[in-house]
Amino acid sequence: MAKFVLLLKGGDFTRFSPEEMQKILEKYMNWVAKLKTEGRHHASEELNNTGAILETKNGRVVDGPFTESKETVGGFFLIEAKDLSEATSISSDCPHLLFDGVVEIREVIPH
Amino acid sequence: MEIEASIASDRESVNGLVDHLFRHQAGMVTATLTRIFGIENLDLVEDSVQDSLVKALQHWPFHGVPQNPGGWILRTARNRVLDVLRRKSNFRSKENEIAHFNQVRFQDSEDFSSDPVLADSELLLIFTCCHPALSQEVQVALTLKTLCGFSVSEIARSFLSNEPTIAQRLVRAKRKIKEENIPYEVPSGSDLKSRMEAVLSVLYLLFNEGYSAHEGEDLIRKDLCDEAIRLTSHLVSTTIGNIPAVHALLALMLLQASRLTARMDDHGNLLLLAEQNRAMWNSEMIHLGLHHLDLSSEGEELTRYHLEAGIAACHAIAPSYGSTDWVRICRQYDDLLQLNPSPVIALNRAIALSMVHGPDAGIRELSAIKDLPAMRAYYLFHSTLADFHFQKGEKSIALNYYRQAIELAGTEPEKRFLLTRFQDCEKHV
Repeated sequence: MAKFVLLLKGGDFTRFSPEEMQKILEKYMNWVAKLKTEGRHHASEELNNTGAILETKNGRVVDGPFTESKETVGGFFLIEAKDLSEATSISSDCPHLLFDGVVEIREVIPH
Repeated sequence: MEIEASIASDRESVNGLVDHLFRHQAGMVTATLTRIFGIENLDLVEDSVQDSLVKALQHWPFHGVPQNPGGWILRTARNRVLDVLRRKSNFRSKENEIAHFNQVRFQDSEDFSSDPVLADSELLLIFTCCHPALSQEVQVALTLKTLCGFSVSEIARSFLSNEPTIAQRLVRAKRKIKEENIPYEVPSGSDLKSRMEAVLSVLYLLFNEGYSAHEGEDLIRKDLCDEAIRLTSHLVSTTIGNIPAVHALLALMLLQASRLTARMDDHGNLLLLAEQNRAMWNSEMIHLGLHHLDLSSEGEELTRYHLEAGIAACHAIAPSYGSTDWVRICRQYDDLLQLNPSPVIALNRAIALSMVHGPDAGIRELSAIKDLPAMRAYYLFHSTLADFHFQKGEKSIALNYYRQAIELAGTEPEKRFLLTRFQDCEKHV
């Protein structure tokens, strides 16, 4: 079994009503629950959307990222899957995709 | 798919989330924070509530639903309002009140929905939304948005309107509130009586919008019935709301809502009262409705809600359409028409009269109102006339009226319903 990191980027929930958001939340929780019952879930965390960016160009630490954009990583999942195809299939159910979100899937290189 | 199935199924509490939690909490928190921070901050409060729900959506999948989800939403929204206000210069005047509130209220385990002071916030909000400076359609939109947690889009769908219209309406409402210095309060004395009437009107309107909807079209309109019942039930449980008129309105809602599941057949078509399977009527709601009808009879007051509830009760307790106490219903329609000479009531009264005295009586009643513009454009007027003539065996006259009704009908389920009656009439020898 291989490991994959799913990076959840972007995502815009602001146009939804409270009722719609609750349904979205239920989808998320069911998706996560499924990962757990299938024994695929290793870790998941939500990330603070401001922090710091270290750039080597000028050797300084700068604050950032500030704006939530399509590229901002809001959270990650570390899951188990047979291969990239399976990991992609699992990610395609992720509700993040329903709300202008992007899921980036990267295999953890085994060692 | 599992995910779809679990969304679609009926459930009490999935993942620690009761049905409509977000929507109800949105209303509760908006009411509470508006009370604390003042109605002049209503926009900020609404934004903060929305923001806290978005945060919940981002946090909870990772960490699970908190023990007290309502408390979490309240605290998160409150913190955002405080953050924004701290940057404003007039914050200091509110600081004492807020500090006190912070210390006393926001423990993790606190179930603030049972706190009498906080629960009263909902009362404050609905009474404010129904201020006479605001037109009724504005009162309705404002109530749905702030107290019921509906989005602009959902409100537009509920009233077959469009988003920009509703959005504009809300913007004008907030402006009016500022311009007229509308206070965030339950009025007292004679103002209370007239304001209560406005509140009941709005609740009644919400219920009727939902009730007249057809399930096949949009479930959001059934939610209107639920909201109306929820709000009226809350109102009746308060000191000022424990009055006959409110009991009568609640009785009316419960008795009518008891029929909701029986009104549709399997194909999403409307079933008449005469055709409904009465075993599908919700007996719990009927029982509760009759209980409130009982309570509404204490005292001297007789409102339209009393009469309409009385009529609904006659239907609810009748084992069949034919054995319904039509004489009693006629009497109540007579009283109702005096109180409220509306053509729709006149129409329903004509139907009741025809059940007692035959179709000719019905036709006579309807010809008295046939020239009213409201009737000429009302599909049910024409279909009712058609029914009466059909009962008399006057087929071609009936078919003409059914045709007119079909042309006037607004929605697909209504058209289908009329078409069926047209075809039944045509086929009849």
